[in-house]
Amino acid sequence: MEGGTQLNEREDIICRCEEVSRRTIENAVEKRCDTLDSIKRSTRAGMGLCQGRTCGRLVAGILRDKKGKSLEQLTPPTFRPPFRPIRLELLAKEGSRILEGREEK
Amino acid sequence: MNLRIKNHPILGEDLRKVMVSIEVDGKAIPAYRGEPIVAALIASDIRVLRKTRRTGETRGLFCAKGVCTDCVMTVNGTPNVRTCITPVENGMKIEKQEGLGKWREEPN
Amino acid sequence: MRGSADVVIIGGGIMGCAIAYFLSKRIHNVVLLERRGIASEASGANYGMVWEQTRQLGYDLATARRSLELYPELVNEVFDIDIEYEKKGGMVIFFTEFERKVAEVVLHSKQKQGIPLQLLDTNEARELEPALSEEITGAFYCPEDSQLNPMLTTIAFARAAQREGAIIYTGTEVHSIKVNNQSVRSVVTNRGEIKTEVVVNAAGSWASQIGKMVGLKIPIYPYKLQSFVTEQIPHLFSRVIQGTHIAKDSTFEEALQGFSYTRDISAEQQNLGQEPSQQGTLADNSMMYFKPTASGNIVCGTTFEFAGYDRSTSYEGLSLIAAMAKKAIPALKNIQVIRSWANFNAWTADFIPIVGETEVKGFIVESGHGTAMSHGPASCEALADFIVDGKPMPFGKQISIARFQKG
Repeated sequence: MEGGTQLNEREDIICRCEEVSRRTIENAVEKRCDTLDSIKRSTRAGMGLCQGRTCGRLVAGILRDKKGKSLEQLTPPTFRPPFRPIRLELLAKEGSRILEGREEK
Repeated sequence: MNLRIKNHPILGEDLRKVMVSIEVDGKAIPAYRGEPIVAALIASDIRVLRKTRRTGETRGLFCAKGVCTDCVMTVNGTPNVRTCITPVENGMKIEKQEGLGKWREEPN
Repeated sequence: MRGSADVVIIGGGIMGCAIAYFLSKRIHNVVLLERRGIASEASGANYGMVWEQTRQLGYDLATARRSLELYPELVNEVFDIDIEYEKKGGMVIFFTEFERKVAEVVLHSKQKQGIPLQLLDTNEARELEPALSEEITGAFYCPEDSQLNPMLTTIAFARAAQREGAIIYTGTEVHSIKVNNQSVRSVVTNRGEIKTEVVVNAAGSWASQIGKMVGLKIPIYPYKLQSFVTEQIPHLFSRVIQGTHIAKDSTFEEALQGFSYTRDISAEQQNLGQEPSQQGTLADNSMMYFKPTASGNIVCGTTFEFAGYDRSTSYEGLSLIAAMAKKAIPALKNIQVIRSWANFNAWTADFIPIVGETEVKGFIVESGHGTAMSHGPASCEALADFIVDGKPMPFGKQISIARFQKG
């Protein structure tokens, strides 16, 4: 089939949210980042608004290509709330109730 | 080119009638009541939704399911609203977001 | 993996990476072992405060002051990445008249210690930071207080150490330490054994587990903090803003101590560093921290829990943090929270770390820092001089493990 785009150029963006290029991630891997977590800490890939939902599997693929690690061998990232972005005021409802209760005592 | 599907092979005819008006960067465009913001934008041939913060690249619809956040725009003064999963409301003011956008609801 | 080393450092946080750097400038064959990744624990999770105003007299204040001197030098001459270091000053805000009255007394004692502390009223505080709530009754402000990105600072130290010849092994866990005649002989890991006569225990919240490997009781315990981070927003406030931890029904004396960030522990010290237990509700054990990062995300915290090594966050905890954020900085109420976490801080009964040699020859501790970013450069600079030249550490008695031991 003709056409299609190859995502294998060094300047292509892997983490769309933080605009992290393939080159940046590969450099981090070459400097001994060999887990998804350490790549995230060094490059910010996975720290953006989508929290790695889009780039996660791409970064895992780069680790597989560069380090020969299969997906099963990779330590998965820690899953943390919130499941999706939540407005702070909504999250604060219960906490505000507790803090106001204490002030009344 | 109008991309709206008027007659779907399974869902049948598009029988929606009720329209609302929304504003995109000051320009009024029509929308079906309750549809996702980005559907109305694409129907009016608006594909560029924002510019990224670091390189100023243009972004548009990508995953279309509320996950990737490429489609975020500033809606009624609030940035980072995912337009693929947010339904339109009559009179909504939508702006192409530049980088982090600007917050209108609270003073900066 | 190396078969032998002159010094083996256990722990890839700020203390481990900083000591690796300072040592590697002086000696060869320094190895650092980290079981996860660099900065994957407290150093990658906290707020990056290098503050003077909240330090206790002695090692704490002196080390923070020296670190404040060292950081600009490190940024200009050593680090090859931007650690987002800024001297913006730091603020401690309060919401009651009681706290304000206590603050007036604390102001004088802090100023006597040479800390350039100012007590601002509501208007003055809001002039510096307009985003602050109108309901604050005042704030402490110290223009010397600085902030940085703790994760990048730790990574910067690791990179600098590697440039000086240190070898860093990540994904490498210490299983045991061989001791012969009360002297360190080797470190056994999941990837092999390294012969060494000097081990630096920089394992932070896990320092006690490393201590057990050489038969030592190290009374450093994990203290769980919950935090969350918001989406990136345009500039709202510049400085790290902290709250107080004064219980509503505390006496003036208790509040004074809370505000001075000291702890009178003579009773507990007699218990020789017993394991602490959680007192009161989560709301009783919460305190405001707001860190504006260079990327535009706002980090908000925190709650304190003694929960062993349980890493979970709780809805109650995150909701309390959100409520505190809304109270202190009202504009945050519409911002989206995108990620939360829980991490451990290394807790000691007197809030002072354990640094220096122990009765096991060659086994050195550099752990137990609740404010590790403030201590890191200066403490490790001094510890490197001790390890290489035998030069005694300043305030050696105050930070010695002996203070928790009988006899």
